[in-house]
Amino acid sequence: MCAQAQWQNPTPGAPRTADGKVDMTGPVPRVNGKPDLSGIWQAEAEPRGPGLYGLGESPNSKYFRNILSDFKAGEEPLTPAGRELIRLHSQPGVVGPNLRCMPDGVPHADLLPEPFKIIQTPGEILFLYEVETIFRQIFTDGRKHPDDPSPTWLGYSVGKWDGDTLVVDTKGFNDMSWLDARGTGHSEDMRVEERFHRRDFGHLEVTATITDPKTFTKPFTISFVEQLLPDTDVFEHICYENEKDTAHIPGKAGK
Amino acid sequence: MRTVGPLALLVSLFAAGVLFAHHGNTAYDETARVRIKGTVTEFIWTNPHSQIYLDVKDSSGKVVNWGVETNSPGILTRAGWTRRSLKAGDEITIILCPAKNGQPVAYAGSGDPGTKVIFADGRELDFVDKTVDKTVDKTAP
Repeated sequence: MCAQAQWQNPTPGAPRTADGKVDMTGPVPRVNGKPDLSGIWQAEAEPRGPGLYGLGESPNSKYFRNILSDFKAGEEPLTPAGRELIRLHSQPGVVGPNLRCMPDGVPHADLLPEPFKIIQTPGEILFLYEVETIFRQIFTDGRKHPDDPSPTWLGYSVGKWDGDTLVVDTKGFNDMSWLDARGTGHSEDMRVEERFHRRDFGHLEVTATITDPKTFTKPFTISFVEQLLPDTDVFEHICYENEKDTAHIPGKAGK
Repeated sequence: MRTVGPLALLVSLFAAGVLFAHHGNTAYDETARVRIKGTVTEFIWTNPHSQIYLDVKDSSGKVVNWGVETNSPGILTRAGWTRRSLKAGDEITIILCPAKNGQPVAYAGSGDPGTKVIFADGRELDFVDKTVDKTVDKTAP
């Protein structure tokens, strides 16, 4: 193996312990009076989902598998249309958009077992997702949502600070993404409010509140933690370069 | 590993010699860990999932070419791999999750703890993210 592995690029400015490791509980960096959320983040696996992978538990967040996993079966706040979407997405031959190399949506893209990079600039905050090599722009220049945004996978995001918490309001989604791997769907009316709070150098606390009256009988909130991946980068991930599923999967993904 | 697909379809395609399993790991028995030993014929460093092909002698002495699916270059890179980590001719052992249908295809990767590659000299390559290992995380459980 190569002795100088290419991911070993020290995170600039990271607090380090005497042995050179990044101190994950070190102080939060600040810029222009606000926390700097910049860094490479990946959702912690805890709390994990149940044994999807055979060894008793999933290596991923439980919300990766089922965004409604805080609710008991039968008590999920789904409208009849919301239940119908899950039923349709569970049919044999129907697979999620990402199995067809289409993007993940919000907040599912933040719950993948692959990281994303946040770049914080004065007027906007960029999320660069490794999976599918896609980006998200969160405008913090004071603008409002467009009156009639074109529906998109990641929606139109505006952000503002509430103390040290970044509050991101996103709407203008298309209805093609799945909110989790099992196939919880949503409509174009979905609105997502995310709150990002960097509690220390190595941890970014996230809550996401999902409101979509066509799909859910009430808004609901999930909370999870992103862990900083130190001394690494995000890498290009173009799914179509060797994608082999599409020709063999019947039906139309994501619908 | 995200969505359940039609196993019957997977079985028929594996039987036809077509290897595909992008994320959908329902074709593999992830409760099992099987050890195979052989000679690498090709290592394809690609998205969405890299592939390791190796010639393995079965119990009757017949050589069978196995296809082992593994992670994306991004995940492998953070686990310490490069595109040159394996090359044709390498003698390796892989601990993997076999296909449920008995075909010579398998999965070894970050989603399945314990899967790894072992070289003839005992050196090992696993799929664990080394960036996280490098941290001091006092809050981790």
